[in-house]
Amino acid sequence: MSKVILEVKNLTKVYRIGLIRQKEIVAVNNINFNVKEGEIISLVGESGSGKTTTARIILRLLRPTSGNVLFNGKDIWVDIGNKKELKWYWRNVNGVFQDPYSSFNPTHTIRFVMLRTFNLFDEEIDYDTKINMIKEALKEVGLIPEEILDKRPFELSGGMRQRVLIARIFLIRPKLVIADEPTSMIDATLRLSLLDLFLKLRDEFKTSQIFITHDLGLATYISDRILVMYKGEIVEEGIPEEILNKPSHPYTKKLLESVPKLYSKWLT
Amino acid sequence: MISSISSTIIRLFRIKKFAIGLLILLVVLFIGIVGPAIYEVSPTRTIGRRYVPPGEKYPLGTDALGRDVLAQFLHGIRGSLYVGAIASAISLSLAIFLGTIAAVFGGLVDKIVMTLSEILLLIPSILLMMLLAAYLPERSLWIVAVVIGITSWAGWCRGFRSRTLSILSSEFINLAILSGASRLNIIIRDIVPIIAPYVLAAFAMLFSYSIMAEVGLTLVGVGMTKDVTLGLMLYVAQIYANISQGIWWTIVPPSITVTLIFLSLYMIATSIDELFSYR
Amino acid sequence: MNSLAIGEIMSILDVRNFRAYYFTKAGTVKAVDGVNLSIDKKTIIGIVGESGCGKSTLAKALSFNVEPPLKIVKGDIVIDGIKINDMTTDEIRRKILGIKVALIPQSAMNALVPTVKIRSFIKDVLKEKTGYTTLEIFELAVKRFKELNLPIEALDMYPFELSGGMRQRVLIAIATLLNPSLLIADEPTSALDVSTQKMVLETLYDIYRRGLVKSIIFISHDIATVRQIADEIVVMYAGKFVEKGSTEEMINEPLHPYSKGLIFSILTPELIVRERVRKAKEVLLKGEPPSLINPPSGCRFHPRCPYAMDICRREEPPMIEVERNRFVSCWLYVKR
Repeated sequence: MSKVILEVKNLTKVYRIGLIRQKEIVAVNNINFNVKEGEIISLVGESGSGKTTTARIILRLLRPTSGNVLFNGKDIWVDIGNKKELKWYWRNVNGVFQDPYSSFNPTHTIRFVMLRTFNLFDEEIDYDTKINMIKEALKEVGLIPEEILDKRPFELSGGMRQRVLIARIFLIRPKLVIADEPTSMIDATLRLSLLDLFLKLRDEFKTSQIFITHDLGLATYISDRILVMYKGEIVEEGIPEEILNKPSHPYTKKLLESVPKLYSKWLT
Repeated sequence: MISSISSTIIRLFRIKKFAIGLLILLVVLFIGIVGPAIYEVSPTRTIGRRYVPPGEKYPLGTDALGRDVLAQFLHGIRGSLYVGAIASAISLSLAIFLGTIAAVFGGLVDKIVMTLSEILLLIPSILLMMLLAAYLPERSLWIVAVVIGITSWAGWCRGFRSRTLSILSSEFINLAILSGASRLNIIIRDIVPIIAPYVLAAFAMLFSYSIMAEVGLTLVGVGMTKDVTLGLMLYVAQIYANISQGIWWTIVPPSITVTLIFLSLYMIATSIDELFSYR
Repeated sequence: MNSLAIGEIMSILDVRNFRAYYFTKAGTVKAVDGVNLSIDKKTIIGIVGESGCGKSTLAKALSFNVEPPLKIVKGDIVIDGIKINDMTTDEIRRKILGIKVALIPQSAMNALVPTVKIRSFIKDVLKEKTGYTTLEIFELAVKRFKELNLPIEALDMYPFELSGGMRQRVLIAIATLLNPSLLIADEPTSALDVSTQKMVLETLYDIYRRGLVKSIIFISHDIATVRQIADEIVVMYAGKFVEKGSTEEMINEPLHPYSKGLIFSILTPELIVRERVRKAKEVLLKGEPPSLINPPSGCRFHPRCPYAMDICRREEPPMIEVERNRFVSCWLYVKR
């Protein structure tokens, strides 16, 4: 029985727009879910479903309006506040984002980007060891360190940049990775090899993962469990077989229907 | 990081425009700084007959009041450069400071800064100078520089605000936070390197604008009255109708120099922009 | 679907050894480098490929949206038996566009004029190409909108007042008002929400089913969507066609190594996807699509192909017909 490492309880995020006359937008509405050790789950929804907001809250980049996020029993917004605790948290929970272009500062070399993550490490590591660790991580994702380290992001292709972001994860080895649409801006034939890297993280280090995606096909391929989000709420949850064969919520059914499939046709 | 700054500078020099512009500017700077020290003639004392053409005694002749034009020219360059430096320093500091806090703090602060900048965009420096001219018969270049500085930050402030906003909303800032970088580290290693080229370009543009603005203000009589600048030279030439009398040596040197300063700064500013905007 | 009146011979499109290059300061980008395409019956052809394969350039070229630095370097375009290359731009605009061939671009906002109402836009476009009166044009539009189940009210609206999906459907209706033989759709659903994609596809199919157009070329990177509507699928890579066949054959048994990697990589919400992916991994697609300025020698796919042989590096494989209407360009299938 795998232990639960992340608990999301009654999480809500409300945005207030406007200075004088205020309008409320409920981005996330009272959601609850868990993630176990070594588990890969997907939060599936269209734009506006609240999935990205949820990801940002769990990554401790965005403050929720109410509710709790518990990592290994600690409430990340109450029990974690000072610099040391924050570093501990991000050593254990980190992310991979969607846009390989804006995920990198154009003035940084890859070497700098990777070296920076050592901020999260408690232990003292000398420079050479750091570089060796970085080279190992780059090799794990299929990149040649000598060709990459001193390049700037614009010199690399989108696929290579995403690999660097994943190499960063191999370096940090967090217990939980939040991957926000990590392959949506990548070509189809490169997607699989990137997804395989995430599977490698799980197989080698039991890394739990939350995939944020609009692509139900992707979720089917990679997840142990799928959570369907609509208008800020989790409307359905289950293993891929359940979601695909026995969807219960009307939105899930509608979503399934609107996605083109290979083995059935809409039109005759 | 030192190597990346030096490699950037090297790349900058490869752009011909930049090299030429910088060369011209440095020559002018040199003349303005060193010139008055070498040529120790006073620009404000009458030393000879008026309208003596350039010759052996007076290399650039004398003006309407019998003063040495070369001395005026050299001191004038220095004076114009002072105005440019002071005004652009004031303007740039205000633009960067107000622009970035508007972007970082948002909300009420943002609204205040934006409204302030809109109001100031509507007030041309000439109006303010005319007001001051009515009350102060003696005006030094400091007053003119401050006025130009205060009235020219608004447009650039908006530029800094939008650039900062776009940087702050970039994913790499989040990634920096997720790498445990402190806020100071993010400012120094993430924001500054990206905004630095813009700062340099803005400084170049503001510097040239300030010098031109001073010429414009002084030429119509509301600028400075005391210290020598290229603008003042042209003003004096204008009120004594030098052009129609064919007295070219009081007009041509300052005009050419003003144009050269403007051109060189423009070339510098645009090549900085070109180099950094290909990303 | 292939209903053809007996004895009726159509040559809707004939394009041979077609090349279109971008002439840039960085080099010549050989975006479309020798493709052959013939359509002689009612059919919907899907051209699929990843970014940079040249499919968008092909769409532009076939719909005469060619502007420098893009230039058609070689190959005649023959539509409905008319050789287009000899015509002037003006003639093409007046007699061919919208009449013989029409283009649906990726975003309707690129085609509709934002400051005029839909009906005015239609009037402006049609007045130029036909001798119809304003009233006749309006009646034609109303009739067509009703046929395609589009709300007539849309005619009196501005483009921004319509939703993305509705805009795209309206554009399809307008582009085909004069019943062009060939309709080229370039990523027509890519910019839309999943729920709207289906509606747009249905409108496209409706037009085809009713015989308002004879043939559609559907260009997209989204193979699952293409599969819904196309009778045949063509796979494009690095400026060339590498394989062609019926949709069922291509989806289930692609022959070319690249097609295998591409088609078996598709992830759809179907449980069988996990098995399919295993087949994609056999091709183990490594590397990335090549630069079109300096494409690889011989077969353009050889640097990434697990089955590459000596000849693949040296010579480009010919496109051969392995079975009826089944074409592949790969040395593995060339009999010695």
